[in-house]
Amino acid sequence: MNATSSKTANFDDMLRRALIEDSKNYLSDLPTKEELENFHQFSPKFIQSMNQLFRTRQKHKRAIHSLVWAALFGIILCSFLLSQNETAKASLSAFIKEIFDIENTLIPTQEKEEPIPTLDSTHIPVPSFLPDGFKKTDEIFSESFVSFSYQNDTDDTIYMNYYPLSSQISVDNERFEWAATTINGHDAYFMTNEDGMEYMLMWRDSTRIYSLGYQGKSVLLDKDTFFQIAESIK
Amino acid sequence: MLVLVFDTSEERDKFQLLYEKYRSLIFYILKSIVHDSWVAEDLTQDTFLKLSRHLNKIGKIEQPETRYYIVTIAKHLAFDYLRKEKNHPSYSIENENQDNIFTEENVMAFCIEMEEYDMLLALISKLKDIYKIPLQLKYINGLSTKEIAKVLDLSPDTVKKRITRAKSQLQQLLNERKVV
Repeated sequence: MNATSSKTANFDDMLRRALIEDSKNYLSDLPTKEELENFHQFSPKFIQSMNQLFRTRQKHKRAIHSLVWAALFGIILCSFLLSQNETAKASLSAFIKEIFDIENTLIPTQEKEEPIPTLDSTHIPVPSFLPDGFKKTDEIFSESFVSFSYQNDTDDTIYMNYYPLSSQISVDNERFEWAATTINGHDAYFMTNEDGMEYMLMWRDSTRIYSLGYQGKSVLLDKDTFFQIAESIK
Repeated sequence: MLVLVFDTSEERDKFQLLYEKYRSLIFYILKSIVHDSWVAEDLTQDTFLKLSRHLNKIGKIEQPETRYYIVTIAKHLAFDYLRKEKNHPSYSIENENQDNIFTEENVMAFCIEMEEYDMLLALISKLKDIYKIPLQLKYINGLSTKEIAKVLDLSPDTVKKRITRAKSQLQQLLNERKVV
């Protein structure tokens, strides 16, 4: 190693150490793990989006799984139809083996099952009333919540989330104005963000916590209609 | 091609662990930069999306390098957001061709008396993020120029230019100190 490259290596090493120390210094100024956990309770919308992300990734996986098997089937079929050419047959069988190896590597046979919901999802009451044009577009069952989404043709969204009673739910009060109200005789909080065309109602009974939300893309739903949805959840 | 799209169950578990372990940290860092809970939540999600596309760059969940990497990605997304929204001075690309790569005008003034390593550390603490982040990804996480370009959505030429520029200026300042 000549003098120039040795000098460069020394500088690179010193630079690396300094960058690590700078990162350490930055992180050491941050709150503790416990303080970070309590710093913010993620909104139901965020949790829902993240769960959808996990689900989407799983869906991709399933879609590719089917694609691989379809490709495999097609190749096997082709092999029957092809000529007696030995070279072609050999390369086909190598390709089939390669596909099969990928499939076995990437799709473990003992795939994890979906998490078992801690909420009794079979007895969860859904809204019996929805405004015209809204249809169920998604449902999520996770360990920490159950969620149903409904949308109309203009992508206005109503979402209904259910949480175990032990859950801590928080709402960004900088964004919403809120008022106390009742839903089916239970104390509830009604939150509005009219600029953002959002409503939210939260209440609890003896079995679970309910959170009904509306996110308008085109129009803000009539308030009475929104309450009518909530009252229909029994 | 299939491998690029696929998730193994190990990758999914890794991603879930990352999410459980780092979501609060990521949110805190983002909120401290953008000062808006809703934007910080959106950017937290963007950070995880970004991480999910580059899971192979992440080693063990608990190791410091993973923590640095995640923090670096989160900060990059936050500064990028601010740059688009408000043209954040630390992350402005308008001034990229000007001489100063530091957040302060005369960085030599406060570190001229220091030892070489301490001076380098002080200079790095004043380095603009557009220069510091590629350096962190290269020297802490061992990413190549191409990999950094992919992670930061920049061209490899831009990444190379920023790294070279930052290194040469740091070296030059260290040399000036020796002369003094």
